[in-house]
Amino acid sequence: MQNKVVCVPDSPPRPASREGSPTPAVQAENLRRRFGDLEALAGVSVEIRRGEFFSLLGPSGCGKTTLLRIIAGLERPDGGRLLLGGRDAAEIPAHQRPVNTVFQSYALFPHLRVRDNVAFGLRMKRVPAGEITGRVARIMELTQITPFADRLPAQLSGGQKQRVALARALVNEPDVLLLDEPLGALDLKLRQQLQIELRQLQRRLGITFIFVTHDQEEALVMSDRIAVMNAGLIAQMDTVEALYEQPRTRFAAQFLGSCNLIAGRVERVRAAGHGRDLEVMTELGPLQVVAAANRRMLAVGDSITLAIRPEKIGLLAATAAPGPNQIEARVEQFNYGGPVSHYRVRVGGESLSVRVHNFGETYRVSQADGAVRVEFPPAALLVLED
Amino acid sequence: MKQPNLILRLIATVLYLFLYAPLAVVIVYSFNTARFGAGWHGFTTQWYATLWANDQALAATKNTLIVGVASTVIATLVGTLLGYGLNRFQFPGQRWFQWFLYVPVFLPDIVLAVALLLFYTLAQKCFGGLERGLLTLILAHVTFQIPFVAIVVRSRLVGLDPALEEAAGDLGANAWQTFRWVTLPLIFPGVLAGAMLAFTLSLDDFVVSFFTSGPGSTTLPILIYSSVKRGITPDINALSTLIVLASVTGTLLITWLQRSRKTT
Repeated sequence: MQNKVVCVPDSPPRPASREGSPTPAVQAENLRRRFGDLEALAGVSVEIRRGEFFSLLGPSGCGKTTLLRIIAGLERPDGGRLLLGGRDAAEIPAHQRPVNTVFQSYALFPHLRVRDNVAFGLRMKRVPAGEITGRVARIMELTQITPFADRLPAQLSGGQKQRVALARALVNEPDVLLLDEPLGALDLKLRQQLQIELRQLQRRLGITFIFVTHDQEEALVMSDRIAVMNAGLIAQMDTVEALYEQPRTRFAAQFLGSCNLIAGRVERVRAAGHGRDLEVMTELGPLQVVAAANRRMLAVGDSITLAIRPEKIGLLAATAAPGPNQIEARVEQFNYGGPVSHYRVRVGGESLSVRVHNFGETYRVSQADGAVRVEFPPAALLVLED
Repeated sequence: MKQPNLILRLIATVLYLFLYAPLAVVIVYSFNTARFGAGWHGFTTQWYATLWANDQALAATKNTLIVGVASTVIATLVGTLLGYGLNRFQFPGQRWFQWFLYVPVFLPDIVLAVALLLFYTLAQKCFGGLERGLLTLILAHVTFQIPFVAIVVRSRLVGLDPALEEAAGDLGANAWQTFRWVTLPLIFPGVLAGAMLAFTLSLDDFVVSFFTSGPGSTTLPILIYSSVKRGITPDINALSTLIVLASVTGTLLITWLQRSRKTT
């Protein structure tokens, strides 16, 4: 099924085959773009592999959409270089790039029926009419819009428009599909469903997807790799897992998921097999930390920031037997949340967020007076770089 | 919906009377048997027959239509491109160009007429060939039609989502294909409205036509004017009635066209 869609004999030859090619789909080198006083891109370098689901994640105004538009050819960079499949993109005008876009507003042509919207790209490239009919029918089947083929965009719901926009882009069999917050306008249920569908479609077609979003959960669910952007720069670029488990900066730690930050001072450093064991004096008290070996050098006396995810903090009854890295705390707030309950606990002068999964009775650990003990597993405490 | 009270209804009635009573008089009198005077002497359609046999009137109708259609086609083409260019491109002095687009709209016709007469006379002296006739008439009409078309088309373009043209480019359409298959169909109601406006302006233009036409290129307004100088005759009433009928039909046709376009 998917082979029929991807490999059409008449399609123009590509510079390199999609799979197993060492040439990245997109290479950006130090891209810069300025709009008046606003520096939308302040030198962005990124390499996106073929067949990858790559997300650009960041708050609005961080430059993610500008980067997407430069890749699409809708915007020109002020400086830097962009390669598409190894070719310098400066030589390729927008309408000749092997790249298609799903626009945030969908930008469906209001005067054309769904079928003609989808066929638009192929018609512009003067693909023979018989081939167009077949390819349009197949992609409409794949994106489940065949029942609306004869409607005008004004007669479609948000989710249907989204699928049409997707079909209209995919029917051209681009090397890279750009998606600019395509799910932003939809309600939560539909968004979650389409997230899964988009991901499956991407796997099936093997096309490189570059997905722009400000929704961290969306990025987590869908992506192979994520570039977290802030103020025109890439704050951190990594696999989803590495980004969540090992954020390097405050921004990355707090934008993707939530994170408790704890200020401290290094008291002792000891090299260990897996990295370095640290003893850090914090406002909560002394904490043992295992720092990854590939992180910055640390010396005694350095001021550092520790980060720990709310679900990695252990919450124990005050009566439990004491252990290392445990500190007395008091519950400030408790919100029962079904599968995951949410606590705010006060430890020393700090207020920390703790998430507890609901198995057995453990979601309810505090005594009547709110006294608990929190535990910080040494490997879950991360040393941030800023 | 609220029902209007008595006073509002009265005002509305008076207003519509004010607008349409003169037209009704012309139509009624076109069926009056009396050749002169305001008295009603009986019903007849003879003036329409007279009109049909009137070579001058037929020639003037032909001239009016030739000038109207030719000038509208030229002005719509040029005006649409002008409106598109002013809206879609950025260039130095753009604001001035946009501002100068409005000047001819507010300029009194008589000033434009005198200017065109002077200009064509000078042009004829320097280059020869630009005899006053249908050609100068068409050019003169195009001159005052262009701003109207450009303004109407531009206002339509302002409401157009720029992402649509970007999407066309993204899907592989070059600049011409984008214009032809996306922009033009979407601004077409504006283009059509601009063309209708231009055609109407051309049909009833008297001042500019009077100054720039030649002996062989009399149009209906000029013919009516010169006939009325000798007194209002029933065949002029008949002619006016036919023009009213044509205008009403045209308006209905356009409304119907736009509605059927929307529902499909």
